[in-house]
This record gives sequence, C-alpha cells and structure tokens, in this order.
Amino acid sequence: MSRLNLLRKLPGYMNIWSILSLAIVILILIPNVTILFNFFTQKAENWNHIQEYILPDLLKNTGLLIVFTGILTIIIGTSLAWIVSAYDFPMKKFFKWALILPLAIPPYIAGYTYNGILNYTGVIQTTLRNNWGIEVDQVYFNILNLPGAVFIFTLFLFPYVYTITRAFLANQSASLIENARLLGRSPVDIFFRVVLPISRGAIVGGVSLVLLEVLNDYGVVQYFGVPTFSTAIFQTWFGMNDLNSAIKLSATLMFIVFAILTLEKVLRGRKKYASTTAKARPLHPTRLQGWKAWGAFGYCLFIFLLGFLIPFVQLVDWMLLTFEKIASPEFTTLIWNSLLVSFVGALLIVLFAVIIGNFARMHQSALSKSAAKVTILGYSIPGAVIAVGISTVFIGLDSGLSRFYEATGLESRLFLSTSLIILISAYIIRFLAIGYNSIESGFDKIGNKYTEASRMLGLNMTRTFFKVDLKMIKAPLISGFLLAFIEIIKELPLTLILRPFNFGTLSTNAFKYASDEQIHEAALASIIIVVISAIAVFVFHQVLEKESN
Amino acid sequence: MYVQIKDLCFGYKNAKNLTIHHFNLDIEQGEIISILGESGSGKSTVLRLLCGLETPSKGTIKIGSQTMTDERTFVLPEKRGIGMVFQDYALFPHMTVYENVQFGLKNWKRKERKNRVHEVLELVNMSSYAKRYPHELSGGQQQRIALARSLAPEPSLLLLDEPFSNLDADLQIKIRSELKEIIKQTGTTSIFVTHDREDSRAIADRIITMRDGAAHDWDSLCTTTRLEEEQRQPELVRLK
Amino acid sequence: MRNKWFLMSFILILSMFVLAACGGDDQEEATDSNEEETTNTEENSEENASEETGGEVNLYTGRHYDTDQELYDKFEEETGIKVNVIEGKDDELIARLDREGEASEADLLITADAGRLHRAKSQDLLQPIESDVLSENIPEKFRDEDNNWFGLTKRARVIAYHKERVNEEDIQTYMDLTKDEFQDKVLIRSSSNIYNQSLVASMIATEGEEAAKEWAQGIVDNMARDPQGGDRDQAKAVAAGEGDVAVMNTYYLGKMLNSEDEEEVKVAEQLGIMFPNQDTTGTHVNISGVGVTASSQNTENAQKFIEYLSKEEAQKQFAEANYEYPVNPNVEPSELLQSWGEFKEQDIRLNELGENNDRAIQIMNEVGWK
Repeated sequence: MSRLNLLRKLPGYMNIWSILSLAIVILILIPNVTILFNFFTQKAENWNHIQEYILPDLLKNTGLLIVFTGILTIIIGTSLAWIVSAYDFPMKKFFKWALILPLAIPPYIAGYTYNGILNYTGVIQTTLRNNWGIEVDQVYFNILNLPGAVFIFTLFLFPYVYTITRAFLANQSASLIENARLLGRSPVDIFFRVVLPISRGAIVGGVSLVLLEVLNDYGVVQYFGVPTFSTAIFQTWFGMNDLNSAIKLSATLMFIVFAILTLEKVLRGRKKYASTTAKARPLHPTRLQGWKAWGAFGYCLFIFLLGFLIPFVQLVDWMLLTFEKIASPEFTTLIWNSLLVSFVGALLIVLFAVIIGNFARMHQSALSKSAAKVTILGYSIPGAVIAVGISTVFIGLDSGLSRFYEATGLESRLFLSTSLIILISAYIIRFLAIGYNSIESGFDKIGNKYTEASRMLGLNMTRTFFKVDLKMIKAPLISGFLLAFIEIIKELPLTLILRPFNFGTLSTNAFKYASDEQIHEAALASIIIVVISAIAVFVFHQVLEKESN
Repeated sequence: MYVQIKDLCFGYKNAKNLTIHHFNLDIEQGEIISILGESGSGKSTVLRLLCGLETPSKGTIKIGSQTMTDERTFVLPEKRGIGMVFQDYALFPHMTVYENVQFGLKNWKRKERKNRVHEVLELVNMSSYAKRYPHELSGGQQQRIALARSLAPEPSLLLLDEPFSNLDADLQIKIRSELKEIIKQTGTTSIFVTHDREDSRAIADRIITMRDGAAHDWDSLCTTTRLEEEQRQPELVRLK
Repeated sequence: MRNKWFLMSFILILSMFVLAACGGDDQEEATDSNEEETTNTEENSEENASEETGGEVNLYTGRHYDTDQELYDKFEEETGIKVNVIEGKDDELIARLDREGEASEADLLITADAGRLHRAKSQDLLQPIESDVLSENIPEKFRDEDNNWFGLTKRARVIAYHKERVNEEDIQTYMDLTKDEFQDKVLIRSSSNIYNQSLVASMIATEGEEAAKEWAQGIVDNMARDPQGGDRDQAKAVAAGEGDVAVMNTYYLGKMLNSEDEEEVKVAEQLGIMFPNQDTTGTHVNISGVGVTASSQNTENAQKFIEYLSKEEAQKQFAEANYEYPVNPNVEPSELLQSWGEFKEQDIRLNELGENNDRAIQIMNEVGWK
C-alpha cells in the first residue's frame, strides 16, 4: 500500500526543485557529518581536563554574554524600532536607516577600535592627561572584559532586532496599538504591555541571529580575554590537537542553542503573537513636540554615535596616521577580491535559498521541512569548524578526481581545495540561513494563492516560478542578497583559512595587521569594508522602504 | 445636543484633496447613528478624528460638556474615554479574553474591575470564555469580545468601524440585532460606520450618508456643504 | 524621489563592480600604465623566471609583516623564483597542511613559535634539509637537530617595569614576579597566548613541572587584573598605573618606541627593560622559523628560499624593520636592541617548547590562568 502511495506521489516530488534542494542539503550536511564521523573515531584525551578546569568558566561566560547581550539588544533594538515607527521627530528619516549602520562594522574591528579610544594612549585619556593633567582610574576605562564584550556585541548587533521588529511594527501593529490608546493607556504602558508582547515573534527572530553571532564570535572574545566556547574550541583543536574534545565542545554549544530556542517555544505556550486578523494597516506616526521630540532625537543620536560615527571617525583618524605607509596599488586588488567573493557568494546564497524556499513551500512534507531547518546549521557552527569540515570533503573530492586532473593535464593535485570554489562553498554553508530567512518571509507574505492560480491556468511549477513568484519576491530577494553580501565582506575565519595562494581580501588584510597589534595599520582596510557595507545597508533600507509602501 | 461636531476638516499627508471637508453632525444622548458610505468616502476617517487618532485641521468636537478639539484644545486619545470596535477587532493576541476586557480598566479598584469584566462578559454572553485566547474563538465571538472590551470602561461614546465586514452573511443578521440590543441596554451613544444599507437600517436610529468627505442627511440635523450634489441623489430616502 | 535614490545607489554599486572588474582583469596592464618601467622589468624577470630558472615556491606563513613581503619580492627578483603566499594563523596552517597531506601544494611553513614547528615536525609534515649554507648561518641551537626546521629570527620574552616605581634589583628573575611585593602588580596576557605557553613550557624544561606550576600559580596570585589584550596593552597598563611589571616580547616594545602615535612612544619611554634569569637559566628566547614540507615538490627552490633568508642581507632587514634579533651571528641587531645590551639566553632544545606545550596549557588551566 505504502509503496503504491509513494509511487503515486513520485511525479509530484520528482522535479527539478526537489532534486536541487536535496543536492544543496547534501552540500551543507556533508562537511558537518564528516566532523561528526571523526567524533567516533578519535579519542578525547583532554576531555576530563577540560571538564574540570575549563568548562565551568566557559558556561559561565557564555551564559552571561548571551543573557546580557540578549536583554540589551532587545531593549535597544525594540525601543528604537518603536520610537522610529510610532513617532515623528527631527531627522527621523535619517535615523531610520542610520540605525542599521552599526551592522557595517565588524564587531572585532569595533572591539579593537573602542579599546583604542578608551585605553591609556587613547584619545580620551590622552586629552584629559595632556590638557588638564587628569589621570583617571583605569577601571572606568577598561573595556577588555566581559561587560566590555557585551557592550560591543550589543552596539554592533542590535540592528538585527531593530530592523526585523521595525518592519513588523510598521505593518502589523497599527490597530492593536491604537486600540490600547483608546482604552486609556499611556505610551510607556503600551510599549511594555502591548508592543513588546505582540512583536515577540519578530524580536525572537532578531535576537536569535544576535545570539548565534555571539556564540560564533572568535575575534572579540579572544581579544577581550573572555574565554567562550569558540575560543575553547580553537584552543583544544588547534592548540592541544584534540579534535574530539573540540567536537564535544561544539556539541555542547549546539545543545545550548537548541535549548534556548526550545525554551522560548515552551514559554510561549498557548499564546499566539501573530495578529488574530490578517488585515495589515500601516501605523501612523504621531508628531512629538518639545522636549519629547528632542528626547527621541537624542536617544537615536546617542546610539548612532556609539554604534557608528565614533568608531568610524577614530578609524579615519588612524587611517590618516598610517595612510602613506600602508596604501599601495595592492588595495585595488583587495577591494576587487572582496567584492568578487561577496558578490558571487551572495548571489549563490540567494539562488539556493530560493530553490529550497520554493521547495519547502510547495511540499509541506517532513523532507522539505528538514531541508529548511538544515539551512540554519551552518550559521550556528563556528567558522573554523566549518572550514575544517569542508576542506576535508574537498580534499577527498580532489583525490577522487586526481585521475581526471592528470588526464586534463592539470598540474595541481588539489585543484578544488586551492581554488575559490571551496571558499565560496564555505560562505554558502555559513550564511545560507541569512538569505533563506529573508526569502522564506517573502514567500510567507505572498502565500500560495498566486502560484495556485497560475498553475490552474496551465503553467507548470517552474514556469510559474519565473513568471509569477520571482517577480513577487523581488524585494526579499534583494534584501537577502544584500545581507549575505555584508556578512561575507566582513567574514574572517573562513576566508583566512580557505583562501587560495596570493589571495587576500580586505578583511584578511585588516586581520594581518590587527593580529600583530598594529591597530592603526589595520584602519585602511577596515574603513573600506565599513564604507562598502554601509552602501549595502543603505540600499537594503531603500528596498525595505519601497516594499512597505 | 450630546455630541456636537462642527465644521470638521481633515486631509491626509501627501494627499491633494481634503478627506473630510466641513463635516457637521449633532447626536443626542443614547442615539445610535450609522454613517453609510462607499469605501473611500472618508467615513472611517471621521471615527479616527472623533477618537483622536488623527488631528483635524479645522473644526470642533464636543462630547457631553467636554471639548475634545477646537483651535486651542486637543485631548489625547487615551484621555477621551471613547470606545472603539475596530474592523479587525484588534484583540491583543497575547492576552486572554479576561485580560483583554480588563485592559481598559486601569484605574478601577480591583474588586470593581473584576465585577465589571464579568458584567460585560455576561452582557455579550461570553462569560464561559474568559480564559480563552483570541485565536481560539470564532469570528463572531471575537467581535463580541471586542465589543465587551470597548464597553467595559463605560465610554461616553462608542465607535464601531465596519463591525460586520468580517462575518458570514447568516451570522451578520443574527449579530446585528444582538448588537443593537446590547448597546441599547447600556444606553451608550454610538456611531457605526458601514457600507451596507441593510446593516444601517437594522441598527441605526438615524442614518447619515457620506460622500466626498461631507455628511448628507434628510433630517438636516447637520448642515451640508454641497446641497446641489445632495439633490442629485433622490434614492436616499428618510429611513426612520 | 525614493525610486530615484534607490536607482542611483544601485547604479553606484553596479558601476563599482564594473570598475572593480576592469581593475581586476587588467590588473597588470593598469599598474604598468602608471609605473611602466618598474613593471616592465618585473614582468621581464617573471618571464625569465618561468623560462630559465623555471619555478615557484609555495609558502604558508604565520608571520604577517609587510617587511616579510618585501623580502619575498627581493628573493623573486634575484632568483626568478616566484613566491606564492598564504598567510594565516600558525595552528590553522598546520591543521591545513595535515589535512592536505601528500597532495599539499605548500613547500614551506613559517611559524612565529618554535613549539609550533616542533608540532609540525612530530606530525611528519616537514622534511630534513641538508645545507652547508644553513649550518653556517644558523647556530645549532636555533636549528632542529634533524634539520626539519630552521630559526629565522629571535625574540626574548622580557620583563618591562616602570622605571620610577620599581627597583631593577627586585626583578632579576621570572620567579621574582611571584614575590609578595608584586601582589596585584603583575600584568600578563592570557594563557591562550602562545608566547606564554612557550614560556611555561621552557620552565618545565629548565626547572621541572613542579616549579613551573608553582611559578604559574604565583603569577595568577599576583595578577593586577584578569589577563586581557595584547602585549602592547600590558605595557600601557603599566604606564597607566594598573600594575608595575609586565611580561612582553622585545619587538613590541621596539615598535612602541617607534610608533607613529606619540602617546605610545611616551608609554614605552616610561618603561625599563629587564632580561631576567641572567645569573641562572637565562632569558626565555623563542624563534620564528621555517621548515620545508614533507609534500614539497619544489624542494630545491624551498631550500634556496631558506638559505636566502638566513643570509646577512635578509637577516639585516629582519633585524632593522621588525626589532627582532637576527639568528645569523654575523648580523648585528638594530641599534635599539644593542642599546638594551647583550644577554644570556635560555639554554634548552627549542623542540622542548613543543614537547611540553600540552602540559603547559594544562598547568595554566589548573592554576586558573585565564
């Protein structure tokens, strides 16, 4: 019976979409499976030692980082989203997109920069000391600790919460908020009793991205001296040469991620946070007057200064200091390389995301659902782990293809694993989730009705896709592309370890100097990264705006 | 007159023409008024102006002895004490029925608050659903909760925006008579907006038709700005 | 209006891509229109390289100094052997070599720590090179006993102290840092830092595990703050008064004294430098060094490359530009380093740094060195 059933269903499944989706899922799974495979073949010699001396500290630090960064990004992200969508005040139009800009600065660069501003030779202390002879207590200026790391993560990751929540509030919340006002509640009351709870879905979406970034980070926590799972994975794997302990640590990390997501679902219980009715009406902002207007302006300005302008100006200052020493024609190549990998990577990410998204939408099956889930896998695993997994696979592929290489007269024995193909594949695995999220929400919004109508009119799935669907999800396509583009251009660990010979990008150039404590020399590459990402952020914002109009 | 609206004007930002021009309306206490008009006629905007969600460019609104809007005053929506039932009900999805209804009773004493919630739930015949979440209710039930919620704080004026548009046809007929009964029981002065003449006829004590942002009414309780246009509409007969 | 903006920025980005694309494709042409002469000669030499000497050499390096790149360029000019480079972190490069195995295209591995070279050797990733030039240029102490790797530069891990607050007499040895008088005064980086790991590993070699653990415990007890930041940050903390003594590598101090940021110069000028353990085991010295990979296909070129780097000219550049000590005894260190005086070096087999690395990490974890 069941076989018959399967046969009957087969024509529905056997199409280009499901085959491609399966191929992509395999591409993502194999490197991870390779690592897991090692789990059973290697001994964890240092595990006892790690458990006794390192793990408690890791759990404590990671826990504190997650909790405080989570809470603070929620507070800042949602309050800004609320102020910007519910009120009019001076320069609001500018802040609307300027508040996404912190995303353009990679957290590790921000960390170096802020330490450079605040430390003993930084501009603040130097000014105080040289102009007024004031020597300050270092305790108040020391950022290289856990609270400092929380500060950096919060300031440079909150835009994830901000953008997602703002999009939700602007389109979904109008009647609920107006109703709460009519029922006599003050704005503060409404924010806590209505706005926060109804945007819970959006906030959770944003915060998950933030927390995954935090768990993944290596640069900031390493420099700030806050041992977390990612530093410990590096240390046990590369330092102690104990792959298995590193995998156990990764598994523990995955468990934490999973626990957080489950906890949220349990806490949600029977409540629903999506609006009970689908009718969406934009929220009309209220014009603020007097001190309230300036208060809102001041708050936005404050966050914008801390999250973008101050570190940016400092970087420009350092760049001018070292420009003559550093600038060379080589930078043209670096820019080109960065743009090339980011562009191609983001393009493929969007393409793959569309394929899986369309597949998941058309077939509400366990297979398609798990395909969708797999996309997040790469985002929750530290970059170095992905790098090792994928290069193991590619080296295997190369040795399998060695005959072919010989036949075609290729000199290289590692053609694939020393080419850009491996690097771009790694980007896809790492950041597919970003593109997928954007495209999935786009598909959700249009639903199935247009597609169904088109198929009733005799177009098959693929033609429908090109004639109908693709045109309707143009905006999510572009924003997914831009977000992935920004992530790739900022990316470091994968690029560092998987790049071909003589291939550098802006971020490896920044790393080259920063890793040797030449922060000033790292400024030029950092600034170019920030400027390119900032342009992408601006376009991203325009796309969002256009879509909501 | 209990409610006095004089010479109300309003235009949305970026729109060339005024959405509402020189709108006048007087309502007696306890009266149920229906504003009838096609979509885009500005009828919903009148409600939004009345409850203070939009600020008129000109005109006055008085309810009871209190001036809500004139050249100098603008009472914020949360201070007006006006109830509104939204077209999509706008029940808070994260609160139970009970919590939704008591949301507007912030300054009430605890015991009174509890009594009041039960009283209005009783009124709309939904007492047994107090612990449900909105998404666990049918459309008609959701609408009754929305009504109960806006009646709970004893509003001086109740506004209903297309209250039946989300309901099935059979349900609509049943509910509108129920609705009239409930409102009449509480004696609340009410205005509801609809595009359906049948609805108006079933509930309203008096019907105002709206076109191009102004009111037209055979009772001439409110003046109109474009008499000539009104005369081109012989089909509008006095209904009461 | 909005549409226009959108379009404009899109066109801007697009045109950037196009520009970049042209720049990339015609990279060489573009540069030689600017500097026709230089590129021409370079191109010629490259052509010569592929035609005559025919070759290249592939390098994985954990050192990322611009001066190194200049040396590679010079090597290329003189020998016609093209140097292809991947820069990365020591550990990751070794892991990459290991994964690539037989098929690896790398010919050379440079790391900034002897322990790392030892690890590469013990994983059979390196091969022995017999060369009279190297034997002559590099003292035995700074070569692997099986000639698997060769030191290029030396750096000493020293104590920097505040000239006014600390009496030089009080910090004659590393052990002095654990004395009670330096309670809450010691600044040092985290245990994940390889230079600290190698320092502890060297102590295990000279004084035994017990003593090394005791020392690590004493350091943790005397720390002025939780370990954080890099070597320069330790120096700044001394100047700022957070502590009085810091453990750091010599070349960081050299760089600070010559920084383009005058505030860093001021900080460095407040510090005295102490080469510890002069009367006992000697100051801890580490090297950055190079080895030829086991999978190398260009062994000859690789050997030429190492020999080139060990010669006086290259050694001089290492010494001058980066404030490192040259391994070649015929080359004088830079003036600055000479002004710090000669010192007695720790006398251990550098491979021991690698052999003891795991134990060193464990000890540091056990005493709570973050």
